[in-house]
Amino acid sequence: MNKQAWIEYALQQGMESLEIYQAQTSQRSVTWFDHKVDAFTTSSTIGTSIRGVYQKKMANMAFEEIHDDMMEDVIFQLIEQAQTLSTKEEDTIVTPKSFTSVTKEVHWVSADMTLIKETLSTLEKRLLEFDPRIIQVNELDYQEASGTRMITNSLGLDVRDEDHMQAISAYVVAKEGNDVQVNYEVEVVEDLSQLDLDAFVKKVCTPVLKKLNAKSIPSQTMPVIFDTEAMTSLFSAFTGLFNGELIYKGISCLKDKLNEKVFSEKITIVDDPRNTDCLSIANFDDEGYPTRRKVLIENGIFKTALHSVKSAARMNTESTGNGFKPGYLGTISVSPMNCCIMPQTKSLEELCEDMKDGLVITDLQGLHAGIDFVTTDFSLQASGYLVKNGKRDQSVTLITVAGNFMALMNDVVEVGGDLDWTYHQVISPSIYFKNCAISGE
Amino acid sequence: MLTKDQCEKILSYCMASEADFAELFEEHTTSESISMLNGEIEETNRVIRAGIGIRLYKDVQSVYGYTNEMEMEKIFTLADDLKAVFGISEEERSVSLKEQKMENRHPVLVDPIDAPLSEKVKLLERAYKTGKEESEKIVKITGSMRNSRQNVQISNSDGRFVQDVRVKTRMAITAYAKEKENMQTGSDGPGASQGLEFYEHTTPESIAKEACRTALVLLKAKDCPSGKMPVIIDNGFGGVIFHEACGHSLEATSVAKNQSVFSDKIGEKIASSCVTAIDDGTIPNAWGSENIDDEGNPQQKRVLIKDGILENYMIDQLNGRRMNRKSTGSSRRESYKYEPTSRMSNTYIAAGTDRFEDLFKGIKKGLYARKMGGGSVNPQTGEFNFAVNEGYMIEEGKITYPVKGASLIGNGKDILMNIDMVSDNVERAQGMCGSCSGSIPVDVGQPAIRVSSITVGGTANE
Repeated sequence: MNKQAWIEYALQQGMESLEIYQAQTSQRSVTWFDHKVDAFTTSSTIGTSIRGVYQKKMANMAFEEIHDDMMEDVIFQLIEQAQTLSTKEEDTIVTPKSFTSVTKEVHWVSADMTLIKETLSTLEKRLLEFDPRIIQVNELDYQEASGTRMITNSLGLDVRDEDHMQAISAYVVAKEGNDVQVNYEVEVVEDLSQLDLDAFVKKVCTPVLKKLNAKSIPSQTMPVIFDTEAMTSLFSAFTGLFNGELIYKGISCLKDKLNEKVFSEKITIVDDPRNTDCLSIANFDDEGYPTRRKVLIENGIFKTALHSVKSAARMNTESTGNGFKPGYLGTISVSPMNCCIMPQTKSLEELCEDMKDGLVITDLQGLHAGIDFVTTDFSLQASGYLVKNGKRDQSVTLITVAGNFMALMNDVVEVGGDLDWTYHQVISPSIYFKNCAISGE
Repeated sequence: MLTKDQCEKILSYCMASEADFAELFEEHTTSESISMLNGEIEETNRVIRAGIGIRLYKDVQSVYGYTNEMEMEKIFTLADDLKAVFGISEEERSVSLKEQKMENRHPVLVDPIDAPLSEKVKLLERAYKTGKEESEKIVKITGSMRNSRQNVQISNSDGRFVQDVRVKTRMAITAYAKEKENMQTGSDGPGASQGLEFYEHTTPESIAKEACRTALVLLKAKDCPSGKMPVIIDNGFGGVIFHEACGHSLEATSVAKNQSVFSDKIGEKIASSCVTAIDDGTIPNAWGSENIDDEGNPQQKRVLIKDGILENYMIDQLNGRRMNRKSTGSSRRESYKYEPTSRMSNTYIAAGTDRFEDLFKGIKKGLYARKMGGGSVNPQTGEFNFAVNEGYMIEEGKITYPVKGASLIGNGKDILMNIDMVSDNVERAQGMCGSCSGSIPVDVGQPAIRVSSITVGGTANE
């Protein structure tokens, strides 16, 4: 693709600016089941998205098949689209801003097929041997993925970066009597030959065995700790609260709440795409705008919203470098990256001791359906365990936990210190809340 | 699209290996989305997706690769990667393809991709105009329209060479109603395997009215009580209960590997006798229909459960090998980027004989779930959950007041047995179903049903 020719032609046709975003990805994965390779997937794709401003309106198109001879037709369609838009606000494409780059030192070692097969085979054997109650290794998967993104625009922006990831995952089933429970774990592996297999087996099997013989409990309102996994799920579902676009549209309830106390003073939330503790980092967003560290909530007070160029312009401020797209086929929206509730010091066990009697929730299901983002009400399937006199007691399943996220975040007793960035982009430590409505038997 | 000749070359090349089957899935899809806020068109996006997926089997092992770099040389490199997993053979195995013509059961009058943008914008504007006139309490209306046209070409080493075109359109409207500080939303999002003529019978006005109606009801809703109680789940999207609680567990994806609560249960009673459940991918112009599945087999109507007895599963070719059963034409995928597997199409509980009003009789305290949200299930354990978007309390056999924030949880095998009444008013509604082969359009459906006992999760603990 002759990008310069596309840009020149677009400008000749009266467009004010044009941006070409390209992403190239390659990936391979091996799935192991029942003592053999069950599936092997390999791929290589390249995609291009083109957006441009005509009469101060932005139009978007994306292609997996693009040739220079499509230029006239594509630019014509972009102009036609822009003319259809009827919003009053003006759109722009960003002029490049200088930035310094941070880098993350990771030495990925690609694994050959022999090593992958050997590792998966050994893992399957050790998972099944861990305990007679482990009855099936439902899925064992190793995958490697690489991506390159390139952004060029008519205002002189020309940036690119690369990303890589390797991970192993396992899904096991345990059974005791008629009770069946499952657990799934992922681990990022820089070098498969160095993976501590026994530690991974323990990480996968221990939780599922503890879940066995879980029971429902009577409906009640009680003290609850969401462990780091469950709290991460819940927090991830509500990070849209800080989305400048949703605030501008009045869909996020944080509209007009800047510098007001919205959460408990124990809550501080930071978004930092340059945090090298995280799996992926980005020095610029998908608009080529430099990223930076922002404190969204400081001791309960709402300090900053997240913005793309568009949402920032709507609210008369500057982009925070959070304009991301879900791959080249999508359009820019505001997203957090490497966003966390800041950890304090106590472990989950210490939080349980402080709570004495209550419930720990370890797993939430149905997050795509059981959440009303506008009211922040939620009602979700949950499982976990009871805590009696500060110690783990009966495992609990088939209950729901319901409440209002804004109210819950004002009902914090303590924030834990167990934050593990391993593979999440949004994360929370365990949090102990005064009360939550539980439905069960 | 690749020519028949090119497909033969690639397939023959793939079969010069230890593989016993090879398949090519090529697609060229144009899709567009148009989004509206309060009558203003705020974003449009048009996307062309094009690529190829190659799959090889050796017994029940499969290898899959995809690319959108369509030069023959790149495709052969991909084939080399796949062949290497099973082992390369020097033996020539020439594949000869025979073109199959399919009857199109889903005719399209006004292609939504080719129609002018202005025509589609007008439809969204009509929805907005109706919505804002519904009530002063409606403070915001968002809308979107998604259209797509997917051209697929499937060929395999058994000589199959077949093409299909799948055209879809869907409009979704969300209304925001506000009274003092209380803001509630209501949505409706019908769609079909049809062109813009769909909006002649399912009008933008009717979509907006339904979204506004729910939002306005929820303004008056109280918190939902918790606990086990009888629940009446209304028709249409209420069918999500069967989809989540049972449908996924009847897909060969989980059944073949003995990962479903319903594995090895054919001929057994798994549901109450008043339950007959069907998955039918042939319904003309339905959202989850297609002429052929993504392995090129004709779509079918499958009776899954008849009078409570399990009759059939939804089976794709690869899992068919594992189960020693034939494909039921159930193999689907989001795009060439996914290896296909068995999935639902248009799944519904068939009409029963009870009258809707009789379902309420004898319920002292229960929940009437008029509109369901989405949900999820773990097929291994059978545990499911789903959200109630619009619910009402039933007290002494009568509907008393609307409730919000409810969810239903339970185990699939229990709930099927606990359906004690099935009315006669079957309706279907549209959804997107996510699973290992991606996100695909499906219809869910049912008449109103009564479940004698189910756990309702709410916030109003007594």
